[in-house]
Amino acid sequence: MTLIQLTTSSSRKIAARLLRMLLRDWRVVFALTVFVAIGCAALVSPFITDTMTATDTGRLLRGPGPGHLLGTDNLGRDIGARLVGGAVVTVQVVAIAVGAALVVGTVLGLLAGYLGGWVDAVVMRTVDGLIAFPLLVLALTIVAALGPGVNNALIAIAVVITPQFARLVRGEVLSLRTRDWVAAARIVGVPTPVLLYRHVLPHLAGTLLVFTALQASTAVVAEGALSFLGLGVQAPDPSWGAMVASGTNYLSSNWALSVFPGLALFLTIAAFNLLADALRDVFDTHRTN
Amino acid sequence: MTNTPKRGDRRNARRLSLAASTLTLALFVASCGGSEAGDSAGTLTVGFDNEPVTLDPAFSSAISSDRNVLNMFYDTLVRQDADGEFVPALAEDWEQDGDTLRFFLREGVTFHDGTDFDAEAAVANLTRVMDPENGNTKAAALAKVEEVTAEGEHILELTLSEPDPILLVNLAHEAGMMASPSSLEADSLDREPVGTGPFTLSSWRSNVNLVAEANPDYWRTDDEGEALPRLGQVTFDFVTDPSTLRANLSAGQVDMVRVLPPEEYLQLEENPQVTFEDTGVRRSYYISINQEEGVFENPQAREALSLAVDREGIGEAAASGEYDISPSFATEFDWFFDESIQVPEHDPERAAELIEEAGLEGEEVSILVRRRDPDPTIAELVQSELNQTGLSASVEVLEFESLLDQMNEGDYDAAVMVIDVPRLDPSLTFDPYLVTGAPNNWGGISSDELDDLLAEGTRIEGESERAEIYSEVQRSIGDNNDLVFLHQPTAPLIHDVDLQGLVFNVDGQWRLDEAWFES
Repeated sequence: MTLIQLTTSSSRKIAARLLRMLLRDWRVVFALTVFVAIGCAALVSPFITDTMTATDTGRLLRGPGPGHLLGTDNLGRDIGARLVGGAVVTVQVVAIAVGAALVVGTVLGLLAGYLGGWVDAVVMRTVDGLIAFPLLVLALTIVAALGPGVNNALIAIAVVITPQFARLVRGEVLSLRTRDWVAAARIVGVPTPVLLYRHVLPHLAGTLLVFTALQASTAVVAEGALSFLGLGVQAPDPSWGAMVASGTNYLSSNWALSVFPGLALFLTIAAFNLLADALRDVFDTHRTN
Repeated sequence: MTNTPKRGDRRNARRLSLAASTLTLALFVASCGGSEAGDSAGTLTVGFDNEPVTLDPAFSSAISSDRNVLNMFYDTLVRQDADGEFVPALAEDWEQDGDTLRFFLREGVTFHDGTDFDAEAAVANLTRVMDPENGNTKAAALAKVEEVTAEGEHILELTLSEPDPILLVNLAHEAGMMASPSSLEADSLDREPVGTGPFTLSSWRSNVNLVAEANPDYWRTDDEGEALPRLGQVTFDFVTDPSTLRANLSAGQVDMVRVLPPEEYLQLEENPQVTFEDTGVRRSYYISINQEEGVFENPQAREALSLAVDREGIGEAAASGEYDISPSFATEFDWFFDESIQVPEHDPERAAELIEEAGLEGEEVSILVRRRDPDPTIAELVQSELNQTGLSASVEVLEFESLLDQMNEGDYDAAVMVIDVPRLDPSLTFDPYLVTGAPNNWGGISSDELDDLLAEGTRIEGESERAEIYSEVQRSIGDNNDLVFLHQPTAPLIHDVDLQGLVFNVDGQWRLDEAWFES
């Protein structure tokens, strides 16, 4: 009893220390600022759908200025409103596509690594097969086969990222399964699912957190690329990638069309990468301690 | 028409073809490393957005830009110059005698494969076009020719069933292009054109380029008796992206571009190395409407569409203000243009009322459009305008082939399309789009009134009589909203200032046999 209390209180202490370390890191603060901004934008966007899709040929390609703070695009739509609308897709990509890949990939990796045998063979050969393709080419092919659209883009992104999680988790599990506490749990008859959840998964948390942040940035890039090529979000719904694409034709008449959505993509991707960096530093320190 | 195939089958087929074209695109992007033009040696490089599907003139599509390429390799009995006058080509002279049309053929002309051009060869070519069995696309052009015979080595005789006011027009273009009899037998013209034209095909790589060399034995000479063609080599670079074409032109990688949308060519106005030539060609944007099924089966919905679109707004947004508005495909330069026909006023309120009266609020409408700027922009504007009427519109941007597949299946509500005008004759402008069951009548327009009028138009002679018929045709399309006509961007030919001697056809398409570079 006392032993358990001791471990809980000490793990709380460790968690609190980690959090303090993270919040002192400018990279984490930057990432959180970006995430809060995107989150707010996504929450606001359902209330301004009309503004972001309303065309007006009387105000084409206006530069930034009063009335339309970030200017208007080639159909006279407000760029600022469309930028806010584009945040929704980014949130969907991270929450749905990366979320699904994290869950499915982790479960597959745990099973393959812990059970071994034919489960391992089937899962890992499939994973190898998928990883053999360059990520974007695979995503493009999947979307092209399913048909363009935001749902299919999310599916494609989830499918190309899942193997990355599976491979990472399997590798970690292979080294964990031979540890004493796992063997002990197995000997006292803890059922496999419980064993994996209570005694293996927690040791992967740090690594998975860092990796998820990295994969989120990859996913945002992939969505941007798919939409840039017209295979992701379909007009007139806004997406940053599609906005950059349509703006390339008007770079000489209104730079704002491409630059602002490009900046939004850049900040988002930078936020995820910096966060991953910061997390890795923290977890490494923890380990060396 | 076949019974409606399962929707799923069509979709799968389309997706597969999209998957295939995406991969092709990836390979293409990887393979188009560098293409360069060496102007000095009389080499012309043309940036060309519409790669021909086939180089067999009898099987070519109705796309008039194909003619720019076909004219390189083939000659016709007569040519029609920019003013519409007929001038001698492979026939030195011709005479009409009742129902008989007799051509006196030029002697000493050889095909690229060395065989002589004579009356027998001409008979073989025309008979092939007239054959209804082989599925060629030009048979209608010679429908009134009953018999073709060789009356001597260099005399060709056509017997007609009734007078045909546009027979010479047809003979001056694809239907009258002469290919070597041996290649007709081998049926190999689609990739290996063998004609008598000024250039011979050297290589053709799909989606990349087509290279043609001068034909050293070409029969034509210029006014001073100098041999033609003057250029040693012509390359067509197949590039669809307008901004790439514009960039290639300003970098000197291509010397001439077939067509560019205004927002691109306006950027070249300051460039001293580039010149513009308005050949009268307009790109006529229109909306093809599926009236066989879906929302637009209802005439009120079609009228609403016509009233909902802001033609001028679309012209400003998609053609940077460089456009005309016309109530049909006709341009103001056409002899059958009728200025008394009104273009529908932009009236979104009335459009919304019509949709409400028809009880179609909230109905879904899909708008198809080709993936080539600025077409998707136009579709998005139409979509936004349709949504304001109460319909719920979506845009599907497709590669050209998938787009045509889907339209041929009748699997669409509306499609933003464009054709180059003028055509050679109003019958060629209107018939393929309006006659019941015609190849480009994707929406299923079927009106006895139109069919009768259009048949009449190809029967009677005399420009003013025919003009009356075609203005009836244009009124009828407008009244029924069979097609909705948008704007007509100007489409100047844009080329290097040093390129001289371009010859234009009556339809604004060009020939290169007299072209040369001024150094």
